[in-house]
Amino acid sequence: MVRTLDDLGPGQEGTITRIAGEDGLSHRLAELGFTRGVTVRSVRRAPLGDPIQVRIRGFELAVRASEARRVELA
Amino acid sequence: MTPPSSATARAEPPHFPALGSSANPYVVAVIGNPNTGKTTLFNALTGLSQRTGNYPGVTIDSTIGSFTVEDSHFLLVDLPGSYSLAPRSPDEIVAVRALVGSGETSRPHAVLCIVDATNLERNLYLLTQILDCGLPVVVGLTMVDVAKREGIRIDYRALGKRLGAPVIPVHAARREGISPLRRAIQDAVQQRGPAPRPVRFAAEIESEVDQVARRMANGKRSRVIGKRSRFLAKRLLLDGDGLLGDTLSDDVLSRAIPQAARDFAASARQRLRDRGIAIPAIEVECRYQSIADVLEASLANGDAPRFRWTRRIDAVITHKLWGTVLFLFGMALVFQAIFTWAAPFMDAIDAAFSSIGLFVGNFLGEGAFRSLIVDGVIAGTGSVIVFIPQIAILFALITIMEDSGYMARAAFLMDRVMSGFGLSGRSFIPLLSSFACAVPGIMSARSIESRRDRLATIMIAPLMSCSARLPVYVLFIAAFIPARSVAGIFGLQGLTLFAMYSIGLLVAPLVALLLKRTALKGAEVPFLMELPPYKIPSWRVVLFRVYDR
Repeated sequence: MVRTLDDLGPGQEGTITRIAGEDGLSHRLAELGFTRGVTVRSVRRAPLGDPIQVRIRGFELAVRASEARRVELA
Repeated sequence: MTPPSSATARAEPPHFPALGSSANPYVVAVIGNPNTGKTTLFNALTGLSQRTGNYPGVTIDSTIGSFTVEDSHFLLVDLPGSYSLAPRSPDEIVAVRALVGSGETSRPHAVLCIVDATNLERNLYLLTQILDCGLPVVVGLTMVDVAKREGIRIDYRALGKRLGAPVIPVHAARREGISPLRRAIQDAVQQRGPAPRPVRFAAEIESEVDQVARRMANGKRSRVIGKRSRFLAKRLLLDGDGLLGDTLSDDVLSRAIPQAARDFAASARQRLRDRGIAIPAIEVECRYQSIADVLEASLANGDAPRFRWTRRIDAVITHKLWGTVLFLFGMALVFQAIFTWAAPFMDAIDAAFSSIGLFVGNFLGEGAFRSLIVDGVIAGTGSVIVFIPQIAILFALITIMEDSGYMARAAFLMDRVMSGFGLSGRSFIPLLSSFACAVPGIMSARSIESRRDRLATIMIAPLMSCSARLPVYVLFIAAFIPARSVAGIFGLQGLTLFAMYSIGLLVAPLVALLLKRTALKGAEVPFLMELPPYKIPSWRVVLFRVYDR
């Protein structure tokens, strides 16, 4: 099983290897800066476990777990 | 020699207003990422000349404003904030359409790209796409004070040279940098600025783009490739599988793109894919690579951890327990505000209109006309105006939440619950507000980006029993439900009231789900939502937004 952004615990970081899929979502993730070699950190999860607050390239965004699973890490 | 004949009256040639005059101003398109302070900068540049316009064919507003430098007039058109020119919804095609125009002469004269200094890499992505469009570009760099505090050092001149667009740091609220920015825009429209330096992709890709561009001119092969054609060709090649390729998505663009170009672009995409070049992924790769090179020379990041205050505040706001508690408390406050704070104003307006009605009624004789004026016109206008305090208060609170950055956290907290019935966290506040009054609630739903979600939210908002219904419920219950007790503690009447509210609440998710599956069918829009750093909301922005609505 490939490690994804969804698997990171709070405060953990990972280095991106690829974005799974070839649809609008994967392209949008890439455009926002989720590209190979970039470090992404999982800051925390919302009270009900979803979405996830992540930090990448100096900014933060909220990503749903299903979306986070597209971000594959080393 | 016969003298010149003066017998025939010669028609004066039509006098076309000079470019830059008030009748024919220079048009500048303004674009940038969301949350970059674009609105504040737009306000600073254009002041009170702003008005809300409308983009044809889409449901979002455009803001238009103007300013003058010496004798030159400029018209600024605000394009919707976006992270990329690659359109993912009909609303997002607006930007491409605006930059392409319906012909070489109907394009803007320059583009002002707003870039956030604390987020350079991501902001530059859109900027490098804009540099492709062939129009002069000026970069307005915002948040420079925050960047300085964070230890970020940017060499503006070096950056500007690498990009081929002057980079002007501004501090909109303090009016710093506004004059240099205006002058840079003036230089740009008069072709005195630097030439944009677009990112060059691999040779195979660029040559395919050339080929597509040659076929842009009504299918006839042309030898000279105009910048506009090349821009459109590149976007078509990269985005053609999606909305840009869809002939029905936009009539201006489909007229601009002949079938021959479309077909060639499709075959070009296939050829590139066969050679291992992924479309559209290659665009992201090329651009970010180029951005890294550009920033290598012009950017130095500080070592200190960034955004300390935002992180501290977030630790509380998004905390599993305290965050939720705080949130519920905040929502209760919003609710309360709409109900009670507006009440005195509403009563005053009500009374005022009744008085006006009575006053006017005294002058008119009995009969249908008087009834028309008093009960119809005056009372009717009054019943609409009476909502204004509620709307104003709600919008003031919402704008404060949005501007401070709290709104994103609220959506973050509520998203899981809302996705349960097919909506997103962004729908929460409009729906909650609808419990107080559906009118401002529905109006605030305009901020939801996804068209499907926006419509679904608006459709179910009335299901949240609004405050006006309470007296009706109470009346009917008093009339029809006996005052019996159930299970010893609950009164039947109270239970019925609860049931009335609950029915709405229970049906709403089902309706939302149903709508999204049937009438509002379409692709799901990703949730991906930026959590901007906290900031103290600007009074100007709040007041203007409230006034505008």
